[in-house]
Amino acid sequence: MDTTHSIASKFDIGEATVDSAYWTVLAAIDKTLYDEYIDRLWPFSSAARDEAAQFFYTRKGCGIDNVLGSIDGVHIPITAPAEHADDYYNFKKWHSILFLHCVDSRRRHMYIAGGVAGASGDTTILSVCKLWKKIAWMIPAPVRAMEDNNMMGAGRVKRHARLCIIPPRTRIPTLHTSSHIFFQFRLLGDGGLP
Amino acid sequence: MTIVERGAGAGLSDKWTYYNLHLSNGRVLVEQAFGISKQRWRVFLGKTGVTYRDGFGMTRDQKYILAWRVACILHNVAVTHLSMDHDDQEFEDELQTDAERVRLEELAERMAQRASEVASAPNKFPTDPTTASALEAGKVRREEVCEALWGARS
Repeated sequence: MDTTHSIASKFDIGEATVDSAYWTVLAAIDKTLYDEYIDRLWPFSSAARDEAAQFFYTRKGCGIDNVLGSIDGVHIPITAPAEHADDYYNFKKWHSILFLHCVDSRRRHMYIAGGVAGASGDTTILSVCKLWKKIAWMIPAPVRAMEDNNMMGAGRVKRHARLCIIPPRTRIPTLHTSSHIFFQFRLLGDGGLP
Repeated sequence: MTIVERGAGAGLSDKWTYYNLHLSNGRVLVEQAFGISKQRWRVFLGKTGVTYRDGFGMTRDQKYILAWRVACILHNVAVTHLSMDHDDQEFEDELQTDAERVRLEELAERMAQRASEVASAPNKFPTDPTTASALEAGKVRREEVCEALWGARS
């Protein structure tokens, strides 16, 4: 376990340089691996959907059909910001940023929406993200709705909840546009969702 | 569509308790995923996060989002390539029984039927999840699933 300070002294560079390199690497990972390791996991093809549904249908003690995955919100702890700190104060009584995730059968994150202030609820994200609008209500599945994690700036939110916006990246066009089957699917969620 | 787990407790019928149990069994995956991700990158564990400041062309909020997103990506990479989930392997073995195969055939049939039903009916569901009609639609779905589960129990 290295701190910024220990790395800086090891390589004989400034701490700010280490910090700069850290964020450069994070941005690079996000840019290069996001499409492959998160976007592509969403079961857009009918074969992938069948596979997911089979998993949950045959899973011991589950047995619900047409399930693609499970959905839930997650609070990421932050230190209290100087401005609008109360908007980040979540129901668990600490400051956070909230994300809404869908997880596939292997516990991989296949959908991330979010970056809203922690005082909001799961439904807040659901009401602005494309998951609900494009997919949840049986609109043809091959809609690439995964820009959600980049832009949570639009829509109604709880009082003064401040939303964080990361500028949208350019996207690679989807490969799965051939399938136009209507398909009802389910996501298993908790009491915080409709 | 989203299924909602209702609070278990007094006054809940056998049917809904049964439903709750089965729903939870599917839903744990998401909780486990968060648990594993947070344990893997323990910065995100607990109530106090690291302190980021504006800089390098990002606000501090953007930094938190980026960090969490990268953590998720790397979690996916690890799960995909290191394959530490042994229970998935066990699960694949379970699939081989005849009873399961019959169930899968039933499922495929029902899926095809459902797909044709849905294709013929116009999309009449609410576009905003915060409205009462959305909650109502969710309730209808839940009852559907609950009935199906209760009817299929052995």
